[in-house]
Amino acid sequence: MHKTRAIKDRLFTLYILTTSTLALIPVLHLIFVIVIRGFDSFVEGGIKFLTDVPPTPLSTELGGIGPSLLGTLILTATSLPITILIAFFAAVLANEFPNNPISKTVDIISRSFTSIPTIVVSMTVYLLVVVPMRTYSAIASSIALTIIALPYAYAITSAAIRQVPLMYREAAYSLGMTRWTTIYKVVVPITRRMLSGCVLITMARIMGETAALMFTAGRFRTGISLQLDRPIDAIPLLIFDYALTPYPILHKVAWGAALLLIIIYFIIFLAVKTIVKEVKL
Amino acid sequence: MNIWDPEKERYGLLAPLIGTLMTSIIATLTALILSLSLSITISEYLKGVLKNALSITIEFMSGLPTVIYSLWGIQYAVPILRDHLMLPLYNHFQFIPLFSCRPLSGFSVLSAGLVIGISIIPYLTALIHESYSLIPIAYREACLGIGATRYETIRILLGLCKPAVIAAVILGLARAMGETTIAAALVGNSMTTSACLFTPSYTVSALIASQYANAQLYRYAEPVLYSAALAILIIALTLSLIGLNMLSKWRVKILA
Amino acid sequence: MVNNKVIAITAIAVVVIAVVTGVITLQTRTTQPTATITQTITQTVTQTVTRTVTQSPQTVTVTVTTTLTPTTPSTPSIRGLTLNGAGATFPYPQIMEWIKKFYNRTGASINYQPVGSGAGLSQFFQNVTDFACSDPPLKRSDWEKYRGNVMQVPFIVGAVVVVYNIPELPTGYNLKLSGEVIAKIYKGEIRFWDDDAIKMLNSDVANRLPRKEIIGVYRSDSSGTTEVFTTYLNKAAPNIWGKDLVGKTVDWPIAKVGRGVGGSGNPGVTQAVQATPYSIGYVEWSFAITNKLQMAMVSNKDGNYLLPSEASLKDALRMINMPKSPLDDFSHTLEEVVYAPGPNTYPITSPSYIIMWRTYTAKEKALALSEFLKWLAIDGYRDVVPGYVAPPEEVIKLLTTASDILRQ
Repeated sequence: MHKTRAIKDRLFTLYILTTSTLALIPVLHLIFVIVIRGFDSFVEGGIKFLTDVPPTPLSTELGGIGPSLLGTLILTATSLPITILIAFFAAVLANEFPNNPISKTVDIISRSFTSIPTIVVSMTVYLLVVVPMRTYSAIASSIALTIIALPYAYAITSAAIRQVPLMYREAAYSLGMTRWTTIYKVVVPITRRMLSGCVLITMARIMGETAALMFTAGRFRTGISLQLDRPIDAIPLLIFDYALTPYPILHKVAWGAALLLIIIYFIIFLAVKTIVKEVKL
Repeated sequence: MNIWDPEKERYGLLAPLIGTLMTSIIATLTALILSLSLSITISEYLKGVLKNALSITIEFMSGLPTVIYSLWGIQYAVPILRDHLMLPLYNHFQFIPLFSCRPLSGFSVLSAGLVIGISIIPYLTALIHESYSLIPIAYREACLGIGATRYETIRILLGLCKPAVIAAVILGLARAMGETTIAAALVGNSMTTSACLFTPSYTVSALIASQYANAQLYRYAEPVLYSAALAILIIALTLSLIGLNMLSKWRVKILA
Repeated sequence: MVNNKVIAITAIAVVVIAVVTGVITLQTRTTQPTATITQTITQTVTQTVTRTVTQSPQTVTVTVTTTLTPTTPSTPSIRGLTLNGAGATFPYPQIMEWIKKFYNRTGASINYQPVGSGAGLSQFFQNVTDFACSDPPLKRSDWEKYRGNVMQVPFIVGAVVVVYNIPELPTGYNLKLSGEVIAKIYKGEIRFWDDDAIKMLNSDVANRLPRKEIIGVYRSDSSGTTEVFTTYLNKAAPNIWGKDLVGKTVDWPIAKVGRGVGGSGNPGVTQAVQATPYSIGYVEWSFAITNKLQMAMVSNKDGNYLLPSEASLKDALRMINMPKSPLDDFSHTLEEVVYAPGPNTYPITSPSYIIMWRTYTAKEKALALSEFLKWLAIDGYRDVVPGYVAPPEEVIKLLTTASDILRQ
């Protein structure tokens, strides 16, 4: 009796450890491959890999991902502040005024929208923004990205706000502060570190989004464009498009771009980890 | 039912709907099996630096852009899966309907499902691990007190978070259904429905990704795609609402 | 903790610096074309002079048409302007080369999204893009609908080739496949590579043909290449490949029997054929060349088996009754050029069309497009990418006419 229990325990341990390793192998392989192949592209492209335009399918020179990198930066810069602003106010609304029916609706909608198919957002924005504007544009892309990042930003922001103990608020109210001054003077300073973590996580989410840009960005890869009402490109979209071509040179660009994306993400991740310890991605 | 012929304005969404269902079930099953083990490893088998390292790695993985999985899937996962998983399965287990067709290019329901599954492992692991560590220590102490082995303790504790695990599965299903980049790249884009996992098929999001751009050229293609999108949207929203609800109810219960 | 912070801050600093240098370099890059702009201007001014100096037989017609053009004394600069186009993947490699050269020359960027002919037309008619590319010309009904407002020019000529992946066959060997056999394969009626019908056509490698199931790769998106290819199948084997199976999207019989694989765009089909042993597919010639795919010799109307070549494509082009103005209807050209008669005519030849409006509300778009067409007529066909053939003389005229119309 005792023996079978011990054997069962052993077998279970074996099973757990093997499947855990099995779970890690694909991702480790993926990261390994990206580092190796991306590094090759970096070496071949040199510093121009960050600035040059992508190669044509037939060219022998690697070129770079300049337009896409710039596009990713522009899109992040435009959609991140809006997302954070809206998410922050929504979170404040839902957490500080929890009994309001509007707050409840906001809460439920934001929560359930975290897993909506992003391609649906893309096609809707195409219909509502791209077609009326008569062009693909950075604006349309930013709108799509904002819609997608909002639920995420909301979830983590409200988690941050919820962590402030009720006591602090009560203390502030007893000093005669209004609700908004309490938020501004008490809640925000306390959660400052976590809120900056939220900003960074949202940023990572925006930078990695692909499907939202499929029908909104317009894949502008032939030069630089700083105009928001013109087509734009982003690194994830470039990776997706080039991965589906048969040309080795475009694959190389895609691997380099993937490595760059991972590096950027890694830096953001490190920053989050140093700023806040307990925020969940 | 199974047709995409906009030139003649004939449409049928059976293939993408079934395909979506199949890929997301494969994905969630894979992710469930692996992430259950992972979260147990983290909470029961590892300590100190190793534990930290693993949980940080998983946290890091959870934010990886999915497009990276599709790039890796096209160039590595699909050929590997075809040669080392699908072909052997086909050769030896043809009599099972799931494995009854010859794998073609490797781009198939199975590859898309597995890679999506890999991509949602961190998400599921985070959910399960969080719930698992929420269980009050009193339960664990009680288990150890009656002399239960580690295996028995884990079984009892897992039993306690069963509703949370089910909620996590539902949430994972919702996420897998909406996944676009990996599905569009790996599912094989073919209007076929079959019980066999090796056939190329479509998912709703892959169908939208490859057909929406030219849908306006035809009269009914766009409305058809919108209805498909609506269907998947409603399913995903319902699933995630149910999942979130279950999860919060369970939390209240276990902490009470 | 401190260490982590230091690492994070330095890392962020590195990225910021890299980005800033990137932007600066890019901006300096865009100023480069100014030099070439002055070149272009001087060139247009002294156009006739240079023409007579470098007169080669090919540019004679060009001289004629340029003198017809009342070019403004100084060409307005189109530097910094952007044109947005989308459409066929068929001419994609060639268009990308043109875009690069045109940018270096004028500083105007053209943004081309290779999304397929169907998607290109769809977005063009929604006014989301400025021009479209499509392998088949506009359908007569579409042309009627926009008659007088829409222009088309068959600006590059390519060929659809039938490619396959049979590892057993020696490199450099080209299978012979008749239209009938290809149609039967895509119908699902010929199931194995060692089918008697294929063996009969290829008696020299008959014993090397494997008993493996044929996997048919087709386009999953709305595609001009598909329309050209299915038109060929219909004309070569009307009894097997009916009219109902001709079009930009087809309900593929081979997919119904579980041996079909869909690929998005010419790139997607190429990739699928590369990745799938014992598959067959159809792509534009250039994709087969650059990706080293095995090509089949296909039968033409006279019953000869041919690979595409400059000569065999040009033979097919002669059969086109080319309209005189870009505003005319081109819809008949597809029927004329595919499966055209002649002993040495490649049967699946197709021009690819650039489709644009006659007038644009944004004047600078019209100007940039007009400049692009003019540049194409003068310079564009100097070095055509392998896998394409320059269009005939009449098309050069069409390009200049279209360029002039856009200027009005």
